[in-house]
Amino acid sequence: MKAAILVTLTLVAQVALGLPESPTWLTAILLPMVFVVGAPLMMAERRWPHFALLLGLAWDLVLEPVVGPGAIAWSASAVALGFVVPLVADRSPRAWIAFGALGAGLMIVVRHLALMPLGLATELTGRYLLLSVVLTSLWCGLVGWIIALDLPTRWITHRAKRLR
Amino acid sequence: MTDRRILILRTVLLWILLEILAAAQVQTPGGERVISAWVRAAISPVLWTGEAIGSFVGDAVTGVSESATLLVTNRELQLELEKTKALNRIMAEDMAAHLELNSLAGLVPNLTATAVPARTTFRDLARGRMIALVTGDRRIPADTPAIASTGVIGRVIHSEGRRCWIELITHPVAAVAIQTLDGRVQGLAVGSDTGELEIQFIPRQAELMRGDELVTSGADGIYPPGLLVGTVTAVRESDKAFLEVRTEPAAALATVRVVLLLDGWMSPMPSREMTP
Repeated sequence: MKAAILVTLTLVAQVALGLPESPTWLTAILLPMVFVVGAPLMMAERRWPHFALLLGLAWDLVLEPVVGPGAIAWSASAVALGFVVPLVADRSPRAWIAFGALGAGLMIVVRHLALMPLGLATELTGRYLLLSVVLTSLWCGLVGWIIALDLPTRWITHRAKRLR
Repeated sequence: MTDRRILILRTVLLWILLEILAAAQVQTPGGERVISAWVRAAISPVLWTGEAIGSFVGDAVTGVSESATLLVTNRELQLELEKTKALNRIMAEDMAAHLELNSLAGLVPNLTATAVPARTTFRDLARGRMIALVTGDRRIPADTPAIASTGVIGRVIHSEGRRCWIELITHPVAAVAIQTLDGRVQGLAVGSDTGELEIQFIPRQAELMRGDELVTSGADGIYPPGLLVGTVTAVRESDKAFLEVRTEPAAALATVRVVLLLDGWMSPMPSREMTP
């Protein structure tokens, strides 16, 4: 339930990034990538491809002209990260940045490949791909850094010191 | 299979289903669903193959049917050709018979009023028999001489309706009174088993040589005189009282088509006009 709420909020935020008043480069950030990167990094259950599939379907319903290619792209990215992440011991924000970049690149490329047979694929430029990878990896790194700060524990510790 | 492989397999299947789902939602510029175009592209080779097989089978059936028709037509044409060949042979035979008849008529002009032409329908040289079919409805009496354009054939021994049974001169019991062309040597030609004629009663001092022609003498009362009987092929002396003379029949008994039956030959006739 908590995950569904978070995904919904993320998608709402993704839509908000594409509002006419906002800068165009903001749409290159793939906000839901934190769930795909975070699941294997935080040792979540091994159902992450299915979770990513549902995430992709929600992405398609909200942002894509057809339902399907987004789900394929998000689940493909999740499967790839599920294989790669266990090979690396690092769980620092740097790992979040690196896997975020990998996941974003895979998601964009697979989505493009899934749209091609349907005749809906637009031209995939290297500039957009690079921009999206960089911004999404920074977004994932930011989330990883916040998680690494472990704010709830620090808050509990701070409250305990004050109560003494 | 490990859990990971199962997971990947399921995921890939889900991707395929999702792509199909997406294709069902999208239309081509022509207004057709993308999935319809995919299905059409997928089954078109099958349809093409089916059409090709159907066309091949149809062509094969048509070919077999036409071949059968062709065989029947060919058979009919072969039968028609055989029929035409048979007619041609009959016509050729009739033509040859007609020519023989003309030749006969020219050879014996004095007999045309009483002679009866007949067409040979059967011959058995081994038994010395021949059957001839007369052209008219005239009854031919026994002992009527039968001649061909080249010489004496034999005599009628029986007639029934239009058919006449002829005893050939080569029959072992047949006998023809003969003489040389100058009439100085006379004898009797009898048939033999060899198909040749044996000339009997030729005196040892007779001047008879190989190659001499022998004609009928009329002494037997059956054959008119002057008809060519044969050519001497062998003359031999022995301890008997007479010469042994053998003669080759002048008439081509094996190939003769038309014979002339000399009914009523008692009227006078030229003796040498019969020689070929």
